[in-house]
Amino acid sequence: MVVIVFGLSLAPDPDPVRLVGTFPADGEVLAAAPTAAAVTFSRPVDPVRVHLSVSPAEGGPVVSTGAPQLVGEDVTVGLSIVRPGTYLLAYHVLLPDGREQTGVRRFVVAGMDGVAPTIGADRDEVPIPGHHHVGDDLFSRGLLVLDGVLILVVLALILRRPRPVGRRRRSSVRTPGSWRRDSEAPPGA
Amino acid sequence: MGTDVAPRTTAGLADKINGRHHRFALNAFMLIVIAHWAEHLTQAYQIWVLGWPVPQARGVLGLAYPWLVTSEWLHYGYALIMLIGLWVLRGAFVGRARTAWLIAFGVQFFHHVEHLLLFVQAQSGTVFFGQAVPTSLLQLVLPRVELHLFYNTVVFVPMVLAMIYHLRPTAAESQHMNCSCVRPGTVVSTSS
Repeated sequence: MVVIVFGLSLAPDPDPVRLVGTFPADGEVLAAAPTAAAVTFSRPVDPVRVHLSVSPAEGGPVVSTGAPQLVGEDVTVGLSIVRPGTYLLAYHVLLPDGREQTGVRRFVVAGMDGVAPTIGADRDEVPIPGHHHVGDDLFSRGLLVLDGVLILVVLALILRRPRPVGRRRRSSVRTPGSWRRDSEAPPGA
Repeated sequence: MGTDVAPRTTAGLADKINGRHHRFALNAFMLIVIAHWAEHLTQAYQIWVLGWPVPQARGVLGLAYPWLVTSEWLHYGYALIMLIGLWVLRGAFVGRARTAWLIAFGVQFFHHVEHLLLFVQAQSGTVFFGQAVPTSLLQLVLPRVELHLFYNTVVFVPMVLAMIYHLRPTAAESQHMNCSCVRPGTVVSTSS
């Protein structure tokens, strides 16, 4: 209850930065290959981490080039699309207040007439996303290394039941569970 | 008219799970836990080795069913399975193992509440606490992406400790054990 009251008492930002759109928008069909992709925020941002990439939906190397760039309210990345098809725009932005904006948008390049649309031509509403458990930071790496070691311990426990170190005759340690293997000869007998 | 017929009760089922079937039940539960971790380790491989962006690193299940990872259903479902498993299997743990197992249960209970908050926000489309995105309680003070990875770890650590203690009981603990995990008539650890 104390935690809940504490949480409710925290003063929220009355106008938090939010993602207002992407370019290309989800489901958009473009007549020509865009030369850049972007995510657009409600006001200029200074993200802690930004990932923005575009790749063919059917698989293959990414077609985004270089590191994402901050341009006012937009985070943009250059594109090098040389053939029509369906593409996935994936973004992950960690804001300074710890909030994340993440998602995947699908768009189609229908033709190659050399006309590049303008960034910000379309803005879409962003659905509420699920949260992520794994980040790409040092803390996540440390946790996963620890968990990897623990997994090996559990697998060892499951696959190889520990051998007893000290053994007693069954008659001397008649446990309540001794019903379970009455037909088994006691160890060392 | 009195007939001594033992009624089939849930207590009887719990006794079986925590008795002669405990080893199987515990192993099955831990394999579910490991499968969950395998998904996260796959995500880590996709992010750090293959260089995929975080949103595209959806593990194995997420490649086949992207909606599964991007919704709260999977996260909440797993949190619930963890909570139920920890509660149902607790009966066979004694001594140090029981203490560690119940610590894991306590942490998982809070973790489950956190996921329930996220789940309700995602399903209702209503965001709590004046935030821009679904937010759990601890995220209000520790807004980090790996918070739930941390939760899973601090639940997993006492679970593994409980398993070690459970399979290596002291003489005193062995006296109170009544499950199929440790061979009868043996004492693994002489310390008490």
